[in-house]
Amino acid sequence: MINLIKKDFILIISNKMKLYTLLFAIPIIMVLISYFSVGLAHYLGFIAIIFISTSADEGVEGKSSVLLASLPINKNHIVISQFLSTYIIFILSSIYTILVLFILGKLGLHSILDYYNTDLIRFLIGLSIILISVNVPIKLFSNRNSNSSLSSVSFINIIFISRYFKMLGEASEPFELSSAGTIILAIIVAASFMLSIAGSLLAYKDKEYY
Amino acid sequence: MLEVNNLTKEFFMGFKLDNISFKLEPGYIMGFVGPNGAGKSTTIKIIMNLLKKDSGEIRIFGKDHVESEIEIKDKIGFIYDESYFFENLSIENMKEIIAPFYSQWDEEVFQEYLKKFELKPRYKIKNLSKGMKVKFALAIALSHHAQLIIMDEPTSGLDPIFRREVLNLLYEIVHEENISIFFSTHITSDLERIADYITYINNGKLIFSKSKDEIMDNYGIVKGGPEQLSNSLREELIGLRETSVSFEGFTDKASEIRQAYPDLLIERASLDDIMFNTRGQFND
Repeated sequence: MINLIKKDFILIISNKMKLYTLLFAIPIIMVLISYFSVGLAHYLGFIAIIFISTSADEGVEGKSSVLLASLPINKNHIVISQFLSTYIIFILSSIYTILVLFILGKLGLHSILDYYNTDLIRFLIGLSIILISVNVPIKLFSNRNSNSSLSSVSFINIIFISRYFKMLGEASEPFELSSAGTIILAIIVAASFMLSIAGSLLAYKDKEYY
Repeated sequence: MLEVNNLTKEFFMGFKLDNISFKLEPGYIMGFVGPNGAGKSTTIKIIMNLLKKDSGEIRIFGKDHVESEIEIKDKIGFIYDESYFFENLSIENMKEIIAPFYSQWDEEVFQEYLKKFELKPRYKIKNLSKGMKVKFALAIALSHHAQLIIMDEPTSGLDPIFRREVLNLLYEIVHEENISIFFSTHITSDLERIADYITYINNGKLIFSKSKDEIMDNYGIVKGGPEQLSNSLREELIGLRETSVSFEGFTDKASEIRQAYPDLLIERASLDDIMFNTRGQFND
């Protein structure tokens, strides 16, 4: 399992485009967008991190999936490690991004961290789990251009959720999540998390490589 | 070592791998031949459990290939017809990903093969030529003390010199380390050089699985003058070609014909001749 997670780290480090986007592009773009809407900056920042954490590399979809399937690896481990490495990369990237935003704030750029409140953090964590639960199975089972599928899913999420939660509003408006909204979000998060892992484990056992 | 019994797999588009059976003993090289689309890669993918079989049994090292999949794959080296490596990685990074999964990975052996094949660890896989990728795949396949090497068209697209080098290496490995090699190809001259057994499939059906010596004894090209071509001989020949001064025909009963017609010239058939003349035998 550790070796599979290590593989994902080697892949992301070797992909300079992904690495530089995570390290430099996301925090800078978040700060720039925050001048128009802080809510949108946070939201797009998280979406971008999730997209990069789960976007198609050669690891589990495409030609290299045949290599992994030919090695002495338990198929359940491939699925679980994919979820684990995605969460680890996502968490590390998020911590890193928040640290950079903090430093940029101290340097006098727009301090978008001030906008954070517990409602927003709860919402972003829930949303992240839902998106990862959708995107990892796509990555595991998509044989063709999973990048475009992932982009579509992320894009649909952006439009749907941002409209529903009115996140494109003024920067001065604090984000609020009602108690009913919290419960609904928690149910959706739990259901998508369980379904995603269980479904992926079951389906991956019968995956065929043509 | 590798035993395939009554393997069947049907695809939606109509192609069917039909009742394939063969057996590879330890220390031998088996060539797996057939025209493009015959089902060679499909059979190899089923052996590697990349595709599910509909019915039949596959035993590797005496164990079921699905139930003992991890244990079996730990002792198999594989080379496929195209590179399945992560193209963005260097040879060193790729090795770092693959090596930990094998219980008997031997770094010293791997480094020796890299030197032998003149591969530098820093080389990016996407920049390697087809031949270099095959060399790298060979280095990986041979560095974990595999007992069975499965290769799907490893020599296709390689130049003749490198093909000869690969074949010589495989020959040395089998005879020095007592491992077995299952080797699919449509370049039959490769098999004539190194294979001990030949399994031939066409259109998803097994035509034969025999030792190379048996094949060379049984199959032949019969040549003679028109006066020697009796009706009974005519019935024994496949693809008969007649001119006013001679005839030529392929047979799968060369030794019988040799005894019955000692005056006829019977030449050894090449694997190409055998594949060409037996291609329609089991077609529907």
